[in-house]
Amino acid sequence: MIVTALGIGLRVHGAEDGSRLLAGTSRVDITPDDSFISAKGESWRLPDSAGRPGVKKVPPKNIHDPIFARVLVLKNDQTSLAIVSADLIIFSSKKIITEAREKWGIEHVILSATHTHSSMIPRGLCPTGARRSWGWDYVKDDPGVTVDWPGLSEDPWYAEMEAKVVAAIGEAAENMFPARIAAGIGPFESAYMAHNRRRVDADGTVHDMWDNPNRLPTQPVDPTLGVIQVNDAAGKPRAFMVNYACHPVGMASSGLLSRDFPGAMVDYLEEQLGDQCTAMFLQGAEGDQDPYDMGFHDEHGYNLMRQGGISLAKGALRIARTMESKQDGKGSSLEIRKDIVKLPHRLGNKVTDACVMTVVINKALALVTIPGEIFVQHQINLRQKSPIANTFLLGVAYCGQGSPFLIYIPTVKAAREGGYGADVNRCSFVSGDAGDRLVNAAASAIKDLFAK
Amino acid sequence: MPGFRKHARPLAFLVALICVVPTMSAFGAPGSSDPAQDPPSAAEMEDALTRMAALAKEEKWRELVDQFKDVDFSAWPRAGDAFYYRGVAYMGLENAANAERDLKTSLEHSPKEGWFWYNLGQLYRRQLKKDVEAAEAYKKAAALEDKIGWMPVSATLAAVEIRLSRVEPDAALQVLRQYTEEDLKNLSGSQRSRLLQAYGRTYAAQGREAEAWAAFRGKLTPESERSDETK
Repeated sequence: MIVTALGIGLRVHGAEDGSRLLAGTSRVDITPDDSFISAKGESWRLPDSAGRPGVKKVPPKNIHDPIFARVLVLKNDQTSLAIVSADLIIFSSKKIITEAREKWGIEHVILSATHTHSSMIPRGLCPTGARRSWGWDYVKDDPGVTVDWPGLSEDPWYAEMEAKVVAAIGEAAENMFPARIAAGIGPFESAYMAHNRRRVDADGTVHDMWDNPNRLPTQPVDPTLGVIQVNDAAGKPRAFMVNYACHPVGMASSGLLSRDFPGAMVDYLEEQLGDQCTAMFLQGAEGDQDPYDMGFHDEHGYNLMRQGGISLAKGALRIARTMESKQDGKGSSLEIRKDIVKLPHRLGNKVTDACVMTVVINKALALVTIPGEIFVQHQINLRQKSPIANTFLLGVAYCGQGSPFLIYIPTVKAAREGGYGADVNRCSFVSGDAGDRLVNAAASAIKDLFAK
Repeated sequence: MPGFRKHARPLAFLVALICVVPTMSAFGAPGSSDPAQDPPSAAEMEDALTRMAALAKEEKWRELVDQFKDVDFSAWPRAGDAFYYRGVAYMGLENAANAERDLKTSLEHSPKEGWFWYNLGQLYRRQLKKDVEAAEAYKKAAALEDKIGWMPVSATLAAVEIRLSRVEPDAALQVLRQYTEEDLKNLSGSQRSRLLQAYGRTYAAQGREAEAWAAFRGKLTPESERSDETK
């Protein structure tokens, strides 16, 4: 059965199926209001004036586009899962996951940050004494230990955001419909993104190549994107998720609040697929991936960011046309497993517990959450190791257990070479093989769940 | 040319000119009504222009303005040049109002001088912050000069940059199209590369990905038709 972008040709089998799949969607605006931004100032935008010690953090001056949390709840007789994509740089709230279970009976929750760098952060997330707002460079330790994660809820905006997201999960859970799910992966090469921002010269020297205006070829990159579409009984698309690896940094340091390209992407998709469809961006292994253009903080820059999002949306729609649902009339399968992976630190004898959550749906789609900024090679490796073609790695995604944020997770090779995100002095505290450990755990889980 | 040898050595020439130049303010200066002051001869005007060019080349803006600020060049045979040099000097001194007055006057006399338009564009963009006027001036500058050269390429790129910053990619493309694929072949590698990048950025701003990719990769023709499903 072919699932098209318009839902043509989809049939949903009857409610009599014992493990029929139900789905619900919702979205909620989590933009702080103007009065909050201008008067209270308890929360901060990202980033503040970079590199200037002692500069007071300030809230966003302007809202370029509002930020949202978007929810898809999936449920069958086996279990239930909420996937929440929020326009935040990090989205690791145990409170939301706990309350989703207590209030709405949702057993599993994935909190996926789009990782936009022009959004809000709660007071207390940044390391104390950091010279920059995002000063993880100077910590060299597990933010799971150094940050008071429950204490983030003392920030009024953050607490309000958490409450809104819990309510949105409830709204989705209370408005379920029989659903059919399909997934696909396909080529995506765009004039807007992405390139590998670690340039390694022949002599082994590593340079930060944040932007790449001349579109020089770089490696590794993953020139694919993953798509998940959920249709209702009438064949209408109700949820459309895109998994791609790239930092949303086109508007970073602009002083504006924005969803960046993921926002433009969901806007375009919802425009194309209709109001009833909730589009979501699921960030991938973006650890070393950037858009080609950065730093244009004028209308041209905003337009490029927008065009990048539209390009991603068009690419996803092209792939959706070829997707085939593996969900048959007998029902659905929704298998979920969480594995705690021990990650030694590169310095000292500490060990961090990280949780990899693996979701296998209809034995045709695998989702893996990694709570950190993992390098893209790991995404490629995971797909190669997985028996399921549609295996999507969700970076910067938290499932409620283990460290909420591992910062960067390089490859062994990158850790040896150094550079941003790979050097132990530059935002990477886990061992060089941490990514391999996480990917191996995920691949093993996928194989087990696939074989069940 | 009284008092001057045609092929005077530079130093002697400058010394001689300095002897003359301090009296330049009498060259038809506004308000000058002294009948004893004769208008400068053609040779004197030519010498003054040479002097202005030399001062401009050495970026001695203050000196140039001090010596010629009160001169009305309107009746000079090369009035456009004279107003231009003084306008550029005012630009150097960041006296934008006087610079605009002189550069616009220079163009009234010499509307087909590309460099005059280019510097007016620079003035609008850098000092007066009038982007639209700057883009128009750059466009005229590029159109008036041979395409192979630093100025027309720079003017074209500046105009494109302004249009893109205003999210006017169609207008940017119109400027760029002064350079066809055939023209690009005749340019130096760096100039060609800069223009292709500008094409790439312009197409990207329009959402025309295939064309953007082709330009970024050194060609103007699209590599494929794959990227735009709306076609």
